[in-house]
Amino acid sequence: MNEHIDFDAGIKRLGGNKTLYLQLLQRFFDSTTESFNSLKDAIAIKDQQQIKMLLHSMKGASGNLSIVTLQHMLSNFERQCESFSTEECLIHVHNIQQEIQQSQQKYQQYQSLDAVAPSSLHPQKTLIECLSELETKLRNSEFIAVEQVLNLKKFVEHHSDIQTLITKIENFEYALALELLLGLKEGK
Amino acid sequence: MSKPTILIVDDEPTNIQVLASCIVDDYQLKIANSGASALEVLDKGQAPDLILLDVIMPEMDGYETFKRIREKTDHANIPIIFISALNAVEDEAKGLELGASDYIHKPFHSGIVRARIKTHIDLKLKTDMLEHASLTDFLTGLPNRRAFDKHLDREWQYFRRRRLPLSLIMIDVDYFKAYNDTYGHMQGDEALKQIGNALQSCINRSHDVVARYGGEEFIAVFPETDISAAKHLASLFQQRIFAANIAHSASQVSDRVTISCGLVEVNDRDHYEDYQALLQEADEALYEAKAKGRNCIVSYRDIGVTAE
Repeated sequence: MNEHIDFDAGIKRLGGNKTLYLQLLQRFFDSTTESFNSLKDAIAIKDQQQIKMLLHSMKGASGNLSIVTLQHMLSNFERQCESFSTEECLIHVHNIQQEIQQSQQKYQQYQSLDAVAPSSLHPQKTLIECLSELETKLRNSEFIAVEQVLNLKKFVEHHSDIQTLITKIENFEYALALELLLGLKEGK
Repeated sequence: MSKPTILIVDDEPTNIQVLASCIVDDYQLKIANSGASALEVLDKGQAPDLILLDVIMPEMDGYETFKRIREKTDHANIPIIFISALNAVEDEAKGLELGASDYIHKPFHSGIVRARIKTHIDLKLKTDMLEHASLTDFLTGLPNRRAFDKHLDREWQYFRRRRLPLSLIMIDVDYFKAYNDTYGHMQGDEALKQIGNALQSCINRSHDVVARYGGEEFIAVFPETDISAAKHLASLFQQRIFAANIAHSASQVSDRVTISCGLVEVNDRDHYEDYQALLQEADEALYEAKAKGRNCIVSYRDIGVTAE
């Protein structure tokens, strides 16, 4: 049974790339705390537009990752949220957070059964070489920039700004990432 | 042949990753995480062959982004597919009524997404090919008259805004009928190809264009170029044609192919209604160059004064 997460469908959607799928699941679960904080803030001030936006965004992402039960709950909540009181909204948020915990457990079980292969790094490249390659990709808004962050991960422990750069790129904030990268290259 | 380019516009990184992973092997992908960012990407680089556009995004939603993209002439023909978790029939209808090529629901089936994208990319590439063919002179490979008129129209609008001088050079191959009569039409076509190459070799800036205007007539437009620079360029045209050394025993002015040039400049002191008058004056200057014995350059302003 594919309760909570339909792993097969999710992997299939990513063209069979299980490693990427598990990475995206992890990133999704990591991001939910912030999303729910924003959602609770929006509920507190009754910002219907923002509530719908956040629910819609989480629904889309969970659907694409085949986190099926969560997607279904978010979809129902999105459809009905305008008619809910603040208390009803918060009850739904609570239920959804519980569902996320269960989905996360399911994900961890799955992951433990199928350890992710270590990423293939390119140890021969220097930081400045990695940054220069990335700069061109970021300037052209090329998707491939996000695949090149793997090369940067080995530098994280020596340069704290590198992690910020990686996060910006993984969030596809390419314009901000480019600014940060240029600062790093200039040694700021 | 390089891969077609697709621009993905979505505010949710997970969605970008999922979508990109389905198509990254077949296409070159560009990413924008908002409507505003998409417009910037379109402004600064070569237009993509297709745009995958999310509908619900903060600040500028997909529908608004769609309209802004369509307002830009250069981007009016890029196919746009909405990809959205708005799954009501009305949402899909709204997207398609706006003019989107397709509407795909999230969560999507990767096979269906790939197939639909391929259909629209194939159509776009075929349309581009036909568009290119309709704007290119098949013999010389230069822009044809239709392409030139479109370009001149754009440069004319630019001139009206900026009031910086713009020059036109109309070019005619001297005694070309005699050339065809002497060497035959096949050889005449070869000569035109060589002439086209020689003229094109003088073009260095992206907004300068030389085109085949019809028969043995060529035309060139030079934005932000005054008459003195245009005379220099016309002279360069003549030198390159001369250097091409295309034998022409039937010519009465040289032993090789030569050209006559008519020049006209418009600047901030002039008050032309449209560029048709400019074309007319360039034609008159060319007529004058031929009347003065060919293989020369005449500026419209110099008609009745001197010929160079």
